[in-house]
Amino acid sequence: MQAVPEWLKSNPMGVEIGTADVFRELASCQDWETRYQRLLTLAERLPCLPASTRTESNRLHGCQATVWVTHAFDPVAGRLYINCDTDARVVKGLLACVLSGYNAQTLEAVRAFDAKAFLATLQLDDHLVSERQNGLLALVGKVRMLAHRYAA
Amino acid sequence: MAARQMNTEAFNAETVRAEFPILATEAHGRPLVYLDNAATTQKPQCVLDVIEHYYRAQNSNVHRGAHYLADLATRGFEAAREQLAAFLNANGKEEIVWTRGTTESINLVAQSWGRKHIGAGDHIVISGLEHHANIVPWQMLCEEKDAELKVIPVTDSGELDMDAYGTLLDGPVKLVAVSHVSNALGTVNPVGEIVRLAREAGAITLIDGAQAVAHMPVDVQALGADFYALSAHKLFGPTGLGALWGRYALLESMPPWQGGGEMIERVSFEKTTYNAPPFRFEAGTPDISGVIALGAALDFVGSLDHDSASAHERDVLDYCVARARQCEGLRLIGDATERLGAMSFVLDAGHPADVGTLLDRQGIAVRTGHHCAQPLMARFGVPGTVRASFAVYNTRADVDALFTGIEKVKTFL
Ligand SMILES: Cc1ncc(COP(=O)(O)O)c(C=O)c1O
Repeated sequence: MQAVPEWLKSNPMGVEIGTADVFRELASCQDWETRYQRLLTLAERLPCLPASTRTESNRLHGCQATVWVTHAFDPVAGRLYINCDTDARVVKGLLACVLSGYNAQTLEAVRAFDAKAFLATLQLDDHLVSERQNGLLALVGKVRMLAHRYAA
Repeated sequence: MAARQMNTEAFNAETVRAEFPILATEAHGRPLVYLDNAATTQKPQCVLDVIEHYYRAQNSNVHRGAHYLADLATRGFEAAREQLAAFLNANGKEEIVWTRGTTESINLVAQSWGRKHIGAGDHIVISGLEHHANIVPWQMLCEEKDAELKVIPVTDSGELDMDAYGTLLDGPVKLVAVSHVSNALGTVNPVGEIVRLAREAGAITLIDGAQAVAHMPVDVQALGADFYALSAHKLFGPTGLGALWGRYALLESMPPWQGGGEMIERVSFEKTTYNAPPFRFEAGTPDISGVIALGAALDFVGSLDHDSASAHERDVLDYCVARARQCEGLRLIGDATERLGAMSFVLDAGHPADVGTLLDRQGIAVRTGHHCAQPLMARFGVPGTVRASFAVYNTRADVDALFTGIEKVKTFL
């Protein structure tokens, strides 16, 4: 097992920015403009993925935007590190929200995190959260699969 | 019906809009601006009424029961067939086969005519502008029969390369299947010329008319094609219904493709003989209320003064394209001289998916993505586009709302 690369460790989601922070940022907005602005700001906090990781095997399929996901598991700390990238910024913001519950967490925490329920608290538009095409559900599926794999 | 009176007056978009209850609703608390008509058009009150009336007062199975209701339903059902035949200037209602939509119409031809007539080494010609519905059924057929699929290339302006088409016709072409109007770009293809050349080359022709019928009169006899496919839901009618027009002699020569009730003449365990077209291709209980409602939708279209309605549609689309040309950071995808119903674009500012989400938040419904035309998106090197598509009830005010929306999107991205 390789060490977790620095560019993966530098993802602040789930570390400096936890689910409570995301909730505070988004759920309290009075209007959609502010909510989307903050979502786009969250998107900017995700470090860009190195070009070498934007591979076919790291692609999440079935999304309108091209979404890449990379991960590494630190067996010593027992934590899963995940980052995503996409050329669609609203989508990236949504992915960042999900990563606030997944990234740098223990496998138990990953399995315990109910991403859909969390997203539902953020006052985002329903179709953004439930739409298969934006990759959110695919990301959730992939992360849960990883947690399963490393727990075995 | 209010719309009927409009024949005598100039086109009034507000009167037409008033017939579509959904246009007065809101999306995310904002007045709905519906610019996704290429996906499906909205339904006028007369269509809604007919559906309700059918189930309240007419519901019965067609061509079967010897009773009052069955007779009512059958007459309504067959009257709509007659109406669609007249709408397309077909040679008679026997040339109209009810299907679930354009997709099924094309699959019917591929599975019935195609499996009978296409063999190893034959060529089927489609175009680079096609919807997946006019690609995949032919690919499946080619795979099964070891035939070859040839594609008319698309130029930078989103038009078909007719010289290349001429060259393709030098091959052993059995069938040419192209769209009348491109759903992704709005390009109107020169189908008259395409059909003429195909006939000279001895090929059968199918025109995918899904995006044409709501915007222009179609005369299948004048066009000279062999098959014409359409969907009711893109023509102000209900979803899940469409039709295939085919030359009767051709339909008569074709084997059935689905077996069941309606399509048979007589059945025994030794041998079943098949009904004549169109019933041969209509196995099972059809979408009776849908067919009758399509009749109402055709009444609606017929109630419009065609020339002024067309001029109105052209004005709105031209206005949209002109606004687009002035819009900074907007790139039109496809810029055909002959365009109808739709305009596709990308913004430098952001991904089409984000643009769509941020327009939606403002009550503006557009479609983003590949529009079921992935090969075409690849041709233009874009992951997808934003498509604004229009119907007769859209106005310049809708276009203004779109561009106000786009300016706002730019402030985000
Ligand atoms: C050009 C074209 N062909 C075929 C189809 C498929 O129509 P349906 O889904 O109604 O079968 C569409 C619908 O988007 C279309 O635009």
